[in-house]
Amino acid sequence: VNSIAVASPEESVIDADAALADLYAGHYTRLVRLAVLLLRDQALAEDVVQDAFVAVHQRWRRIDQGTAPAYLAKSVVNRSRSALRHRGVVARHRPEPPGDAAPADAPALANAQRGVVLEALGTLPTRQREVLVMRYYLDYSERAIAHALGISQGAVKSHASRGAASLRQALAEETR
Amino acid sequence: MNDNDDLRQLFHDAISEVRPRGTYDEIRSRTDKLDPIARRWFLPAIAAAVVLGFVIGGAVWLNRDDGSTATPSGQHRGVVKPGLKSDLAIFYVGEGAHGPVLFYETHSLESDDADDTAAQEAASGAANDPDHVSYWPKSVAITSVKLQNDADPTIRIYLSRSAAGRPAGVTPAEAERQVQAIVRSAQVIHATTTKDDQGSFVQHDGPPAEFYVGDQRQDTVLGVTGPRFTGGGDAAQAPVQVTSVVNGETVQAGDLVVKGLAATFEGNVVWELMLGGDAILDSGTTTAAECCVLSPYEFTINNLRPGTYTLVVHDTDESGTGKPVNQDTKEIVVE
Repeated sequence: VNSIAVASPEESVIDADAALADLYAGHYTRLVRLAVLLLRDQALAEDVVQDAFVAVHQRWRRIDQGTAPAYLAKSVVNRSRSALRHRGVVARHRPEPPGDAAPADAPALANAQRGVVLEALGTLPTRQREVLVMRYYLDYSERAIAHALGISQGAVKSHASRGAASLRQALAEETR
Repeated sequence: MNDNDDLRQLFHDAISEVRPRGTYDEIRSRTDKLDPIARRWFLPAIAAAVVLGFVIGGAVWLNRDDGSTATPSGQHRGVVKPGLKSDLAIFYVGEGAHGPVLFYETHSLESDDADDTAAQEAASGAANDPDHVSYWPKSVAITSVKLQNDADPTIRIYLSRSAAGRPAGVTPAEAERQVQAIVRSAQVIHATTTKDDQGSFVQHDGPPAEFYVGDQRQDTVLGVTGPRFTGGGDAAQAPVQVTSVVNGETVQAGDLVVKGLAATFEGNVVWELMLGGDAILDSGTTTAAECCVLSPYEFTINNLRPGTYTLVVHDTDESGTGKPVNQDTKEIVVE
């Protein structure tokens, strides 16, 4: 799943349009779900993932095409982090919303179990959340996570260990 | 069954009902709207060559063992001693619990001018630890660094071209730390130490810095407003740092003494040793020499057996709410 087929032995570079179609078919759903775990907002997650696909298409000749899915996942994680940062800045400068306004995609996120897990994930520091989601949703190795996030494997281990402990505690509190 | 398989299952269950909206055609319509120019393949511009004019000869030497040239916090600065390689304190940007902070590494470099070499290494040298980075733009070289030792001393850092703008993808906080990393690396060479009335050592930061392109002073660097820039003092530095072990270092089996710097609540420092996975093999606590200001700590890990370990040293979460803590991690190979 983590690689895409090359059209022919003679063709070392796949056409960007064809590659985009393959990547969309194979990875779009998984990446949106990844972004939902990071952002807790499906509409924003879809925006982030679509932006990543557009960027990959735009830079197709400049990236290592054999690792395009990993490039996409890394791009989604980085863009999610930026989106969270932006959302934090906007929230600090926005007046309080009237009443208990639910987000636009609240029905889609109504599932109780999902809500509990996403809420618990949301309490973690960004880096711990990223490491946990890449480790246990994407099934990335520590080495791959370290490479994608630009941190050491030691830091990955530490974030995973501390993140798992904090998540279990947060889940216990959410379900109490 | 892996201990964390339940997390794997939880994550998959949590998003199994998510049905993504947005079609392939919608993405294609966005790619088609892009300016055709933006889709062309351009050869990268020729990068300016950064020539580090190292001249072997009059080298700068930093005494690491007798402490005579180390600052009270254990960071080293330069003493000219020809014929030896230099050990220079180089600062890089890393992650702290509340944003980017500076981490200190010792780099052994050949140089005839510690100021130049330290600032250049902080800008474009490779950090020993993958958690430490430089956000300095590759297209801008630091050509020289000069101390203006007059009544109001300043360090002049000369650039090959303007670096006024903040690089893409770099946050304002990261940019500020990067400027501080450059300044601090040059500044620490000129730092002085005095004794106060109680006989305690007091470290004074070196002079502030100004950036120049030719004879034009640069009032803004990486989006950070000057014209005088400081290294940020201890407040800019990572509250927990390991300084005696380099990431990836091979050490002998047996007892390992670990040294570092910490500015933590009540001087508390926690260490954990991991072997494979994320299981903690051993752990312990120690205290730094002083509370709340960057000061030395030390602990010993006993009876280390051959293997590859991860050492994590961190402060404590005094809130008890699982808030992020400051940490430094090192991979250690024991033979």
